[in-house]
Amino acid sequence: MGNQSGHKCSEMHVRECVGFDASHLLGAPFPVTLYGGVGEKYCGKCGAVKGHIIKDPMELIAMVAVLRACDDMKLNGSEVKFLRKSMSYKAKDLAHKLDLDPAHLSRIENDKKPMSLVYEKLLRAAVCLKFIETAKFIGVDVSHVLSMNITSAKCVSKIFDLHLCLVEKDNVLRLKSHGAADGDLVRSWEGGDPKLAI
Amino acid sequence: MERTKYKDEQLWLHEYFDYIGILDVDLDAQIQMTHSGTSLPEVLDVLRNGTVVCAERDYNGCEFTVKGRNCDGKDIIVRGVFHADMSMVRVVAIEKTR
Repeated sequence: MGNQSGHKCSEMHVRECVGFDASHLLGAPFPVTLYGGVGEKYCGKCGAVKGHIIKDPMELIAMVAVLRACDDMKLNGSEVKFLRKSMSYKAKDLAHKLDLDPAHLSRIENDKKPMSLVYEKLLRAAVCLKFIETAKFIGVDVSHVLSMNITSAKCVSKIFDLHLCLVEKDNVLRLKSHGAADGDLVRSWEGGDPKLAI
Repeated sequence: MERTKYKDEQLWLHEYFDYIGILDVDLDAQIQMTHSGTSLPEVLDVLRNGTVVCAERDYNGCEFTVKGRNCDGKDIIVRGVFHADMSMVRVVAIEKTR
């Protein structure tokens, strides 16, 4: 673990990381920014960042997947793939669950065909049911997901943008999504073990 | 899942991610993830369900290598360290094969 100044980075410190872009780590095709819940590991001597400590990665994945599934903006192929991977389903397994032809699902994931509204709602419901605990935490009703009006991406100028904030004091994770202005609380989630706070 | 001679380490690792789950991902591992197109859900899936193919315990914890397959049928190898004093798993390297 050396660096440009020639010393071996061994004295590691951790600080709270604010505004961490988690989309590349999660493989999410939309921006996911975390305000808290992530520690930044850095060298005490040279200050170089050496890694990140994620407090509850499984809950994070579940939450991002459920929040995307609950948003009414139409899913594109990459988002369908992201939701499938977050549920750890093989393409053929998801196709079987949705009663779709695997080749058709592949075309959907590669943006060669759009997903029909019926299948899209079934996929969204499958995500909520897979992560039912998380869905319950944030007050998602699966029947609402099945009856939601899906908005075409062409009709909305904004992109799906997720901001997750963790307030350490009472361990409440506050979530802002879909271009909500700073301070707007869209949903709140209480969870995690305070003892595990970074 | 393949048979492993590191049954204890494998069981421990699977249980760790069921109950604690704090994950420390080195920057190098993050870069490898980006280059190989691997994401955190896939890495966690390997850590939770994969086979420990190599493990070396010492007084401070354990170094391990886990092999698993992602949902697209690609093999993923995750190298990590368990720090006993911090009760934390650190991912050091990620490799995607086939």
